[in-house]
Amino acid sequence: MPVTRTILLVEDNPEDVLLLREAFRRNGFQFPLLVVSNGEQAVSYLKGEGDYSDRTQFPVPSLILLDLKMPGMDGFQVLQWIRSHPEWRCLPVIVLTTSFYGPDVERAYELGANSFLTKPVEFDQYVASVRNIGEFWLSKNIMPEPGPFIPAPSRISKSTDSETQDQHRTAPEKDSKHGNRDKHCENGGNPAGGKKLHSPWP
Amino acid sequence: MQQDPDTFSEGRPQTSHSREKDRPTLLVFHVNDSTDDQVLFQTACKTAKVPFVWHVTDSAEKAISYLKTLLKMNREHPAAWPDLVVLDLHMPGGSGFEVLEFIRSTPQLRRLPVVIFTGHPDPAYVKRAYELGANSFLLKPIEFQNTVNLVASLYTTMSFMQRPTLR
Repeated sequence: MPVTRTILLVEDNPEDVLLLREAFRRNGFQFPLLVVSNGEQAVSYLKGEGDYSDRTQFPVPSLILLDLKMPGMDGFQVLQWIRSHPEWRCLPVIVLTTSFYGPDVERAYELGANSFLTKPVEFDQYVASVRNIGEFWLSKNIMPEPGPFIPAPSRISKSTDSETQDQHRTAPEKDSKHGNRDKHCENGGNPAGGKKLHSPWP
Repeated sequence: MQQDPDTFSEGRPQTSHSREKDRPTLLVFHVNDSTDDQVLFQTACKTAKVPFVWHVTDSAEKAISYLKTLLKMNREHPAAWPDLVVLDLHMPGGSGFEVLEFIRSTPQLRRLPVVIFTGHPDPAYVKRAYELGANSFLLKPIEFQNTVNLVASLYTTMSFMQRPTLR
C-alpha cells in the first residue's frame, strides 16, 4: 500500500476530524491526511494559492474526502467546482457525511462523486468503512495521476494478448510525486490525439 | 424482464442467497467479450462468497441495447436495474468507453456506479475513464486469489456506499 498518497479532508467539524484521524490510526494507515475546514479553503488548496502555495507542505491530493454540510461554500459546490475544472475533473472524491438523505445522495452522484459514504453511528463500523477507503480506494483502485490534468483523451484500439500481458507485468505503482505527474502530463494521456472531451457532469 | 439467452446469462444461482441472508444480493451488469473473464469473475465470487448476481453481455453494442431496453421497461421492472456496471475496455466493435459515455449522457442512467475492469493499466486509459465519469478503475489480477480478494473488496465497497436511485 503506497504511503505517499495524500488525502485532503474537507470537514468543518473538529470532532469529525479527530474521529477520522483515530480511525486512520486504528487501521494503521500512514497516508498523509491534510485538512481544510470549508469549501473556500478546499478550492484555494487545489489552486495552490495563498496559504497553500507551498506544494511541499500541501501536496496535490490523490483523493478528497468531502463533507457536505459546511458554512459558506458547501460540499456540493466544491464537487461542482472540481468537476467543472478540466484539470481536476479526474480527482476521485468520496463524500463522507452523516447524511443518508436520498436527495443528497442523488445530487452528489449527479455532480460526479465517486462514492457516497454515510458515517456509521457505531465507531467500530466507522473504522471498518474507513478501512475500506484504504483497502479499496487507495490500494486496489487504480488512481489517476494526481492533478492538475490535461484533458486529451482519444480512442483506443484492440491490442494483442501479448501486449496486454506486457502492460500488466510492467504496470508501475504510481506515487504522488510531481515527477510522475509532470511526465504523464507531457503527453496529455493522449495516445492518438483528436477528440474533444466534454464533462459528463453538469 | 426477458433476456436473450444468447446474449445474457446469470452468474449465480438464486439459492446461494440463503447462505448469505445478512448480505444483500447486488446485481452486476458485466460487459466483457472474454468468456474466460466472465467465468473467472463468477468463480471468484463463489469462492469469496460474495452475493453478486451477474448479468453478462459481450459487446458494447449489446450493452447499450440492453440499457436502452431497461429504460423502456423502467416502470414495470425496477428490480432489473443493475446496482453496478463492470466494463471491460477492449472489445470488438466498440470499447467500454462508449458504454460509459452512453451511461453518463443518459439522464436516467448517469448516476449508475460504473467500474472499469481491465488488463490495461495504461495511464491514458485511466485518465480517460475518470474524465468520462467512471467511479473506479480496477486492474485485472493475474493470480486467481487476487481476483477473489478484489471481488470481495468490491462487494464491501458497494455495501458501504450509498447507492443512487435510478429513475
